[in-house]
Amino acid sequence: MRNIKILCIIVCLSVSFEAWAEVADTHTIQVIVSSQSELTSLNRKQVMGLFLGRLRSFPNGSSAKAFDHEVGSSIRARFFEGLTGKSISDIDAYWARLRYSGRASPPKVIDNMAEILKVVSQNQHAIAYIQRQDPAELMLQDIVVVHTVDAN
Amino acid sequence: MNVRNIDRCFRFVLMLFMPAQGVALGLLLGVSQFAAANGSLLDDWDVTGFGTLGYAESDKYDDLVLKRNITQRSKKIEDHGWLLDSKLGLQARKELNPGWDVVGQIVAQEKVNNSIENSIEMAFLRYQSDDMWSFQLGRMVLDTFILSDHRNVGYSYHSVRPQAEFYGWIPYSNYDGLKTIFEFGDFDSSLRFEAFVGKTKSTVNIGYLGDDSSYNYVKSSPIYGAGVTWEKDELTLRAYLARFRFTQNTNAINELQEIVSDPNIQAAWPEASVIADDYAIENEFVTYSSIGFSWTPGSWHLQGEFSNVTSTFFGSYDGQRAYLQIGRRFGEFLPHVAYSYSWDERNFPYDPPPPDPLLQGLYEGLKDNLSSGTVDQSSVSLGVRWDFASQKALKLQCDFATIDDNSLGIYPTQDTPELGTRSWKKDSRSWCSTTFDWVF
Repeated sequence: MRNIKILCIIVCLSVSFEAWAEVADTHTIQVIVSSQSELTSLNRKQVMGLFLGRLRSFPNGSSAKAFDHEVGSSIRARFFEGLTGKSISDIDAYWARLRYSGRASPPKVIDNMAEILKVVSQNQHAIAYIQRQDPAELMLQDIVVVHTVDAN
Repeated sequence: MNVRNIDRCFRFVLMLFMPAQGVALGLLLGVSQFAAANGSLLDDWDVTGFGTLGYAESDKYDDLVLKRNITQRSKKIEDHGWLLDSKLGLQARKELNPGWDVVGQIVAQEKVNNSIENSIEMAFLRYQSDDMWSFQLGRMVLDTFILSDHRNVGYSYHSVRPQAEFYGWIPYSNYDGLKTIFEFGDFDSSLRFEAFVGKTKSTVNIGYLGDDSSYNYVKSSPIYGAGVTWEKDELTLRAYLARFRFTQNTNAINELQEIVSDPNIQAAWPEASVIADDYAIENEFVTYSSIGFSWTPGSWHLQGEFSNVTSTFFGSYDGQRAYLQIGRRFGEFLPHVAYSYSWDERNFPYDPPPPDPLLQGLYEGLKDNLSSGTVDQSSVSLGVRWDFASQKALKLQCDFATIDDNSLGIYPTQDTPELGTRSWKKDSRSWCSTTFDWVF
């Protein structure tokens, strides 16, 4: 009887852990680039600089082109709020300032996950973000995870 | 090289690059013809827009009209409170190749001159040589102050409108010319230098009347300036210096000059024609200098600017302006408070005429002209922005303005006598406004 109790506790804990890990996975957003970019990691400031249009090059000097998700999508809101600590409304207002003063344009939108993976894998200048996936599987598609954002 | 030589130099540059009026229109037409000749150029245009639908109590008082800026028609605004902040803008951008792009923007809004040509805010060709240098040619929005280049886009800032004390007096929103930008930095901070030269024009309605005598046709050529912006994390610091050569054709001044050129008046009061000439603006200079900051630590939003305007002639605003705005975001809501002021340094420096009732009336009329351009006022604004949906915001704001003696430069009074002074004494007024702002 005692063994059954221990077994139940272990099963319950493992189920809880899996559920927790699953939730954690959905909260994690990966910033990805092509393996041809020769980048291995980017820090938060670097990712912010590239996605907020402040800089147009990777730290290694190669030009960078950021791609975004659909305006109003959940992943976009969670990514920018997790990355910058600002409300997505503030980010949208920021881009309105830049776009309608003619200074800069926001990243091009791709609303299809498969298309994002395809663009990033084939373009060494591309940078995008996706819901967490297995890095080993991404590597098979010539995609490298260079930063993760904990987006609650 | 003295200032006059610098001005000649800029005029020469303008003559080289801006030989005809309507450069902006020409640029748009040229690109569209080029596009028509090449089918692929018609594809991949990024067409977006912005809008504001607003209502303000512009007719709340029977002695003063709330206005957003001096390019709006006073009587039209008074009768239609929804015209004060409402506008619709369309923008098109195309990347011609990785180094070149073209941008056009047209905005429909209430103003004296509502022609298509005057509604084009941007139409420029840009060449970006590398990460650091870029060059723009055509029509561009003026960005002398922090909000200048996006003041039509309500969604991009959290107040209902840019502070009237600071932005309400500006007659121009765009210019035709050249602009170059040099920026460099790393992932920690960036520095951006920009310089421009060009020309601009506008029609403004200073005063209450809607007839031709109340419209001022102002143009400036050359205009030139330079600025520097430093950004680090959540802090932006900005400094700008611009110089405009003004010419203004005002029917009221023309009529005044006709009156004072009467031989009888000239004989009795020679200074009258001197005063009228001082109001007339022909090739006179105005210098705008400004410093500003924007700081957004966490959920807080702080922004402030100070500017000094100096002119070489009596008929124009000459003084200091400043504002400070503080807001904090709570989820979808962003309450904010702002204080702004404008201080005009001009006094009426002329001696009274000899004691003759007719001349006294003329003297009062001349003094009254100064009141119609004086901006001595301050405001406290309280408001809240509600981002209720993606790229859509509702705003509510109340402004409490204190307007000094005879300071009727932005908010005009209906009580405009044919000859004589408006008897405006320092007083306070409050207005409330609401807007729905969106981008698409």
